[in-house]
Amino acid sequence: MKKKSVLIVEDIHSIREAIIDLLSNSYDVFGAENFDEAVDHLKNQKIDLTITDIRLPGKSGIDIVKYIQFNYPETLYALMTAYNINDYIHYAKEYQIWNIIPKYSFLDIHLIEVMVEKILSNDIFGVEKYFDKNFKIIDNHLNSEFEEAPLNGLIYKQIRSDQERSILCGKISKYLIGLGAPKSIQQVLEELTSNAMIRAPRTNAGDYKYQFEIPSHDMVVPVDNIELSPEDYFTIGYGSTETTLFIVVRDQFGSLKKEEILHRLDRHISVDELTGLPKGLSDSHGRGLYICREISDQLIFNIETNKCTETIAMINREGRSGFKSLSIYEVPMTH
Amino acid sequence: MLSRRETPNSIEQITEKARELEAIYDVVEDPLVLIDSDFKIQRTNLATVNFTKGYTFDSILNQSCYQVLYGRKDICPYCPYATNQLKTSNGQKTPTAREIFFKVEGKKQTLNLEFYPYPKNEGENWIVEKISDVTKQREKEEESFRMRNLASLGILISGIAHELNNPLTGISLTLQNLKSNWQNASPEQIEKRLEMIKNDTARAAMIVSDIISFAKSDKVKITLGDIVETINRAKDTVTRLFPHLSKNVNWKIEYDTEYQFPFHPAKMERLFMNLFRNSLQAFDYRPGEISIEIRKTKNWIHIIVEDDAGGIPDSIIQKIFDPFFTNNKSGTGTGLGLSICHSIVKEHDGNISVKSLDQKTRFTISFPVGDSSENQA
Repeated sequence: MKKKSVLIVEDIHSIREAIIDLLSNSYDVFGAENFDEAVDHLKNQKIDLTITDIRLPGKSGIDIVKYIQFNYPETLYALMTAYNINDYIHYAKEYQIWNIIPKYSFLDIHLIEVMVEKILSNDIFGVEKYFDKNFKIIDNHLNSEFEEAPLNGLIYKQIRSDQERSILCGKISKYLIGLGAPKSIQQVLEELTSNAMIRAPRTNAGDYKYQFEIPSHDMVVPVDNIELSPEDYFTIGYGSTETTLFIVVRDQFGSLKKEEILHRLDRHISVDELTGLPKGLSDSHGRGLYICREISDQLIFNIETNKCTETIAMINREGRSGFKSLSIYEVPMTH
Repeated sequence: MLSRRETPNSIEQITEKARELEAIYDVVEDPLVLIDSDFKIQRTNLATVNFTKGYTFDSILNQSCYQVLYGRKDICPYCPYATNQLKTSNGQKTPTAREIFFKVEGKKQTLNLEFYPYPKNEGENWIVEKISDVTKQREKEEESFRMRNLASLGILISGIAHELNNPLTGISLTLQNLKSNWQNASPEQIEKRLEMIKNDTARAAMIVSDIISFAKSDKVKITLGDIVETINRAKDTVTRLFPHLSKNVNWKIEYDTEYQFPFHPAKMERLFMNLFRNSLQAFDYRPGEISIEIRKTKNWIHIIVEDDAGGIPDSIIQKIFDPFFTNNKSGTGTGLGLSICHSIVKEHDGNISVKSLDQKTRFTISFPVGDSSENQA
């Protein structure tokens, strides 16, 4: 099979060369220093994926994205920046940018490899992609009670009711805090599981199954003591490696839209010019994802529409946190 | 207050008015002293007695002001009365003021002294001296100065963090690659990566030395140096450190002969490196020319550095030598480059000026060198 091709646009020589080095075993990799050089490469051969720095001499990485969207709609793209990614969330929303990698000295170069593989294949699910070959997965104890995850691995549990959710989340958070997670990991568990249990399940008509809307009060209220029906069960995975603690929540719906993720993050991150405050500050909508992203060092979304949403929250155990990446992956729709 | 229109008409009334006046200036907390032309104290208020510690109203009068007030044996060196500062060219007498440090019982105080001339007789001037303790006020001002410095330090540090981040990320990623596959790599590949690490390290080191040379301005160790050679070295270093920025830039260096004069070689090189780097950043990868002209007049060497990178807007040209001022997009510079240039030039008793016209920026740097015929003799 012909190797896929990747274009790296980065003006700092050593960073560009390092990424080219990293990827050239598996891909045909081209390097460009600026917009014009990138355009030359795009014209000369089919590029499957372009990874570009945002701030470049002259025209920016966002200009490259716009150029690609207009001229090469088949070419995928991802961005990198040494600056705060939150400053670019608004652009991400405006220009449909799903992946931004933070350039900082603790960046694990392997993350770039994983991102490229995920973007260029339909194989996006699974936290194990981020770790080595010895990573253990226990997925046949779904229905038993809480147990500790294997060292360098994770264990999946299935959740079928409100009661199971609260018992399991309590135990998982205690376990992860014992391994060094911040106490606020409880919040992450609460948010991610309530997304999977209450927001994700919808009827074919698109109505919520386990919460009802009160339009007069602009509110949605979850049903009390939810008992999920079997087709609505979701799974939660948790575990650790030497460097990382993580939570994985998977539902069976894939109803979370990637545009919706950016919309919610943007409302809480980008500052409204009129008020000087984020728009989301004044209401209670969709603060959960923002809080999860703030607490975790990495928050990764993997989506296959109508099949599965997988959200992965990672905490670095060595305190090596830089700016937070933007990581949203979706299995392309087949027509 | 005593009104001059009321003319007192008896000794009792005069005494009464004098007591009233005394009451007024005794409540003034700052010492007020009337001094005659022989530096003897003629009148004073209660605060002065307290200030002197150990004198009484009666024992102060007719004593020398410098002894009573400041414990000196001679006239104070800054005394405006002694140095005739109170007389201006047109014969008008104007008040003057001066700040001094003064130790009272081991505590250092900042005193503000004000001197008001009092024409006594024809050709004879007395003086009224007012002493205010401004220690607290000065401390507050210094505190607020420190706070402002801290604030700009914050901006500076985030700029430095960004500057250092790029080479560090490059080093880190290159090392991760090397670590994972050095066993399969060819010596050339390994060499190439080591070279990249070396270049990134040099970039980081340059940023760090920028900061150090700003933080400590040690005494200039001057040696006789060749300015043309130093400028060439600075040019080479900058093109090595910024290979991409300088790729499309043409250099032109013009001079008649070699110019030697005493200077600090490392600092002088840094001065030109900073200037050149600034120009390169202004070009922002666009093609252009940096021209350097070295000229000698009788007592000066002039170095004129000009680029056609677009010029500096009038609105900021006054500020470019200020520490922390930067016109770069957020975070790409420390804002120290030109202010370091300025201080290096000043350390060499030189001048630096900037002009911007027609998309061009011209820095003129001048150093005093004395008469060259004497130097060579």
